[in-house]
Amino acid sequence: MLKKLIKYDLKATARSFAPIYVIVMALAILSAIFERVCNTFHSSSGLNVLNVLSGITLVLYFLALFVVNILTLVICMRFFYDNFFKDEGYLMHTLPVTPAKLIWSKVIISALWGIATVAISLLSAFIVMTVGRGQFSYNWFNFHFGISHWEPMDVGVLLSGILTIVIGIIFIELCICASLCVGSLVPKHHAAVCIGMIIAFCIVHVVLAIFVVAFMQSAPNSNWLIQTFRAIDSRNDGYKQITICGLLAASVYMAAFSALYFVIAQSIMKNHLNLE
Amino acid sequence: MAWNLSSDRPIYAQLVEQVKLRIISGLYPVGSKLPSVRDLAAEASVNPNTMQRALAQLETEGLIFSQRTSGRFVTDKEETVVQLKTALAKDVIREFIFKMKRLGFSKAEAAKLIEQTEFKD
Amino acid sequence: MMEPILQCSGLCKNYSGKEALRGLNLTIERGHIVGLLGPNGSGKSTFIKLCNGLLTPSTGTLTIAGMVPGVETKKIVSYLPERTYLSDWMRVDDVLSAFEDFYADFDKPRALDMLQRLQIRTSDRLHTMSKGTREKVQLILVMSRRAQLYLLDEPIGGVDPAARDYILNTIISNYDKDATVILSTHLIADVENILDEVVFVSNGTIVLHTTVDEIREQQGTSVDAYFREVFKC
Repeated sequence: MLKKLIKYDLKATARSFAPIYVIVMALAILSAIFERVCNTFHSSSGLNVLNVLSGITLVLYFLALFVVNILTLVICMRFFYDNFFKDEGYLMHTLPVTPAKLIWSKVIISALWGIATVAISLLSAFIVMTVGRGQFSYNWFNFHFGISHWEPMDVGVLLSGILTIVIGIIFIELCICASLCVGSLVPKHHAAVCIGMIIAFCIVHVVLAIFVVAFMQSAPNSNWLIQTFRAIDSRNDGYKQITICGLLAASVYMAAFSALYFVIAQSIMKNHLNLE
Repeated sequence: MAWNLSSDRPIYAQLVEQVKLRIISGLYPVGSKLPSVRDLAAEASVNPNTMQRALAQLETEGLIFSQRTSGRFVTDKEETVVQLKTALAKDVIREFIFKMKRLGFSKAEAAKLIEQTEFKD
Repeated sequence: MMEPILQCSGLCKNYSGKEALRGLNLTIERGHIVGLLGPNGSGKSTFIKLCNGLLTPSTGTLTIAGMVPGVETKKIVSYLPERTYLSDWMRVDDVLSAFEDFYADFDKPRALDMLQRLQIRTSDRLHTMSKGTREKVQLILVMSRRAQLYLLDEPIGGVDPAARDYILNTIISNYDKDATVILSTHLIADVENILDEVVFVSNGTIVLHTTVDEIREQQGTSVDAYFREVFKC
C-alpha cells in the first residue's frame, strides 16, 4: 500500500517540479553557452551585447536556483496540506490505509524531491562552472575536488554529510507536518496556530542547542567527553573525525525529534480528524 | 408503455398492477421471458427489492413462474391471462356504471350511450 | 446470519461548538436502500462522515459490520461526498488506476463500460469537464466498487432532472442485493421510489425510522408529503 501511495504522490507532485527543474537546467545551459561564446572570442570589453546577455543569464540562473530550492520546501508543504486538509482529503482519508502510511508517503517523497533538487542544483552549477569556462578536464576536476587523493575519512565525511542532509529534510518536513496537524485542530485559526507551533518548536531547539553549548563551555577539563575530544583533535585528520561525530550527533538528534513529530502528526490524524 | 407510479400508494402494489397491464396488453406475451429484476427496476426507476416483491406476489397469483436457471416467465396458460383481462375489464365497467348512475343513467341507458358515442382511436 | 451493516448507540458529535448529533440510536440491516432524510443542518452529513471515519465520535458507539470505522471498514465502504475530491490535474485513467490500486473490490470493466456510455474517454482530463460530468465520473467510480455499504451524501443536490435520473438509475443498476445503500438528501420526492427504508433526522436526532410502503399505506401520502407534515415550521 505504501508503494502505491508513493507512486500516486510522486505523480501528483512531478507536475510541479518538472517545469522548475527544466527552467533551472535551461538557464544553466544557456548561461554556459554564453560564457563559452564570450571566452571563445576572448572579449571581455568588446562585443558588449554578448557580455551583457551572459551576465543576465548568469544572474537569472542563480535567481532560479535560489527559487527552486525554496520552492521545493513550499511545494512539499503545500501538497501535504492540500492533500490532507482540503477536498482531496475526502479521498485520502477514506482510503483503506493507516494515517501513518499516509504521512510516511509524504515524508518519503519530500525527501526524494529534496535530494533531486540538490542533485539538480549541483549538476547545473557544475555545468555553469566547468562547461562555460571550457575547463571540462580531468585535471581541473582533480585539482578542485582532489578525488584521487581521497581517503576513507573523506568518504566518511561525505556520507555523513549526505545522511545529515536527508535526515534534515525529513526533520523539517515532519516539524511542519506536525504543526499543520496541530493547526487543523483549531479550524478557525489554523494558519496562526501552525506558525505558532513551528516557532515554538524552533525555540525548543534553540534552547537545547544553548544548553549543549553551555555544557561544552563550562565542563571541567577532566570530563571524559572533553578529553576524548581533545585526543581525537590532536590527531592528524582529527578534524574530519570530529566533523563526522558532529554530523552523526546532529542526525541522531534530528531523527529523534522527527520520530516525535511523526507521532504527533499521526495521532492527531488518527483520532481527531476534522474535515471541515 | 411508461411506468405510471403515483406517490401516495405503496409502490409494490402499483408495480403488480402495471406488470399485469403489460401482460394483458401483450407487451409481455404469454409464455415469454421477462426482463431481469434489475432491468425492470431500472426501467421503472424503483428499488430492485420492491420490484422483487412485486414479482413474488405475481408468482403466488400464478401469473408468473420462475425457472431456476433461466429466470422468470409469463405463464403459458392462455386462460389465466384471459381471466385476468376479464376481471380487470369488469372492474373498469363497474366503475363506469357507478359513475353513470351518479349522473343519473341506468345500466341500459349507459349501454345505449356507448353504442352511440364515437370513439376516436 | 450476518451482523447488521450499521449499528450505533448513544452517538454524539460536537464540533465547532455545535451539537451536531445528539444520542443517535440506529440499526440498519443489510440489503436495503435507506434514505437519510432531513433538512439542511440536521446532522446527515456528520453522520455519514462518522460512518466512513472522517470524523470520530465525541461519545457513543458506532460500528460498521461489527467493526469500529478504520482501515478494515474502509475496504468495504464506498463513499461519495458532496464535493468533488478528485484533483483537477488527473486524467480519467489516472483515477481508474488509483481506484484499482487501492480498492480490491473495484470493478474496472464495469466503470469503463459506464464511462463509455457517457462518451467519456479515459484520456480526458478532469479539468476540461463540466462540473456535472465530473460528478458523474465520481459516481461511476464509487458505484463500480463491489462494496458492502455505499454512503452517498446528497448525490442529487443541484443537478438537472436528466442527470438526476441518470444518477438514480446508476444506483439501481449497480445495486447488489446483499449490499446496503445509505443515501442522504433533502430532495425526497425525487428519490422516494428507490428507497426501501427512510430515516428522518432533525436537529441531530432520529425522528422516525420506517419503510416507504408503511408510510404510504398508513398515511396514504407520499413520503415527501409526510415529511413536510412532520417538519412543518
